[in-house]
Amino acid sequence: MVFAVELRKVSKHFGDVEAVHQVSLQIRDGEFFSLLGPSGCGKTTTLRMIAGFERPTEGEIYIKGERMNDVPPFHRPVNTVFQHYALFPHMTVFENVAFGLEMKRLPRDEIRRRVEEALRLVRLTGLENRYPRQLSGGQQQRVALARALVNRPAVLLLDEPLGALDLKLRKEMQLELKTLQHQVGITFIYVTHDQEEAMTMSDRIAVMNQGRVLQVGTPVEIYEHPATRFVADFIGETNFLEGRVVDLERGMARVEIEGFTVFAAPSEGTHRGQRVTVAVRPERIRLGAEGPEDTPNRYPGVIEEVIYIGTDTLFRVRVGERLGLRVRMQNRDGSASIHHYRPGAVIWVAWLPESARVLTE
Amino acid sequence: MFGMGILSRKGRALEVFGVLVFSSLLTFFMAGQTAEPPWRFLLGGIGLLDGFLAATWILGLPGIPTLILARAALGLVLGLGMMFTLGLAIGLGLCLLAMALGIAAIPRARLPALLILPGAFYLLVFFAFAVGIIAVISFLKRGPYGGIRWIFVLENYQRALDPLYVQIILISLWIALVTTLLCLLIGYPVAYAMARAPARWRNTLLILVMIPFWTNFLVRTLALMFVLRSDGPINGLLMAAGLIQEPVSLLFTQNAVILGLVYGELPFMILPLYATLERFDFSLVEAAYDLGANEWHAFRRVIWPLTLPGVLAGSTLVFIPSVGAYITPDLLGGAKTIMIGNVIQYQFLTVRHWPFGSALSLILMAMVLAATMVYLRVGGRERVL
Repeated sequence: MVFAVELRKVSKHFGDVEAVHQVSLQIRDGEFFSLLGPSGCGKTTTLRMIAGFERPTEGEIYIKGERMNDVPPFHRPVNTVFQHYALFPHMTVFENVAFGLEMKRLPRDEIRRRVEEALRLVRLTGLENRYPRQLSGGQQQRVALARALVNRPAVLLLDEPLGALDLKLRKEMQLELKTLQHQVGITFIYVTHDQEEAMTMSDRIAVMNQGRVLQVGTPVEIYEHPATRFVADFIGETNFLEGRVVDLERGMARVEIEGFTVFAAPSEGTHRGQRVTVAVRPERIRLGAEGPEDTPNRYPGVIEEVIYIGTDTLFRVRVGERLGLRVRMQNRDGSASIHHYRPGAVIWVAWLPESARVLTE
Repeated sequence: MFGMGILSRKGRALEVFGVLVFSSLLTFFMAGQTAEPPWRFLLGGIGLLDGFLAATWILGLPGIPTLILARAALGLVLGLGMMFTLGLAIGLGLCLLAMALGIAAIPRARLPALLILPGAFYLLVFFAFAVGIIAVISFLKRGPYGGIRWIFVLENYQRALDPLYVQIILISLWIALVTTLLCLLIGYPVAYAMARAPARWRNTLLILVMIPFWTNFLVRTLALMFVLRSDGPINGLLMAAGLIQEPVSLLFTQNAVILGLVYGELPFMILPLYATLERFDFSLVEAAYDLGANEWHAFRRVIWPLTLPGVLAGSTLVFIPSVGAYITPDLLGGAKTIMIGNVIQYQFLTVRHWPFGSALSLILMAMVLAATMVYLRVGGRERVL
């Protein structure tokens, strides 16, 4: 199978600093692929190597099956939407978008036709003669998008393109980008540090930290089955409970945690006696006046804090002497339900064994 | 209204009062130090005036703020005059007091606009006034022993149209043009490399560019004479290498003049170019590459148009002094390469024909102005932010 982009053990050193370490990725044709990680994790450097702005120190980069290591950026079948757009300030919107086509020496009327088409696609028709400084942030963003897409690249690279926009506009653009990607059918590689953004848009996500790819998977895989503690922590909120595996029975691990027994889904290589971390998402923990019958993971606790955030209510619950749990409950019945759960109230917390996951790293 | 604006700012009232009292005391002190009666009385008068103004300022009488500003303006002019009559210390003291008073009394919002005044004053006195004098002299007759006779004539301009002088003017323009182009050709890559250098290196590089300024221009040009001489190091090297049998004459040629001018003017090209390139957003170059532009197209379509303001500034800064240069062609061009600057100097200082020298100066000015305007107009057509 020919991948849209393939990285084979790619590393990048800047002097003594190793920005990217042995990254291997296989990005499929037409995929919306995100590189997700905190700042300085190597995601932008990885993207810049695909674009051709940085040369890998080691490893190989293939685009559409062709080795790209020695190909300069202007000969690569990719286009980039830059973080701060990098629109040419001395050119109008039309000239900006036409730039790539002019470099290809296309005939004048074809350029005109394709620029108009691209501007229609990003809904900027009528602004052809404006200069970038006369546009709002969102409009500049669209020009950058049109300027890249008009070249019909094999792969579109996006470097935190929504970073400079305000929250509401971001949310709109997220959906718009996703729709746009379906329309044009181009492979998108999207760099972001915003896990929600990555989850919303991506077909697959590569979570990076300290120059390494920790996990590649669909949003569901990454959320439900995080491979490492970092992934579980970076994507969404998680309770981490430290303990020791005492037994493995019927596909479940029995873990001793601060004197409590917790059943959790084991990960590969979990063995008896191992020191592990059990991860439980706050929204998977249920609160009740009595312990439910359907799960062995049920414990009496005391509510310490209640935070109302509109859609949900967040609780901090103490179980035993040393276990603190964060619990998230949807406000399904309005404010009525939370009246039972006041600070100091004694309640039961419970979760299904398959909602808890053993992390060995 | 102007005055009320000042009075309404309570916090500044004390400031103005303080400056006035201080100024009053200091001026009295200076009056005491001055021996000559008329100056003594003038300074004393100013001291009295300041005391009076301070008192009325405190009483908050209307119209006083305007009076204070008038006093500040008067102080500036008097101070400049006294620099020449009573010495630098007293004159400068008066100027500084006047400026302090002005700064204290002028509403803060208007201050930036007024900061232009010292510069404007300087230019008015030493440029506009001087050019005016020269313009008048250029229409007069030369006196029998130099000097001028007040007879209106056009003969100086007629004489300047003599092919001899026209040719010298054209050569001067040509030399200045070649100098400017060479400076641009050499300076742009240097400025580019400096702007792309790691940030910690940039200041060092900038200082290296400015090092020639530490040495007197005349000394540097004399040094260049030694280098270019027939028995100088260049000829020595070429002969030792067997490339030439006889020394070639490098000195006292037009090329030597251009060499000297390029050497002298190069920093004035590099500095504005560097300032522009340093601010240039190089991610735009990446964007150009990304869109399929090779190095040349990225330069031509993105870097060049966006750094054109620096090119225009640098070229103007190099071209204008080059046209009127006279030390460099004097020392390096010898008798063979004469530029218009040499002729003007010769007319003023040797022949003492001030009217003709003035006419040539004005023609030179007009030509430089015309050339610069054409240049800026043509250059400005490339869209610049």
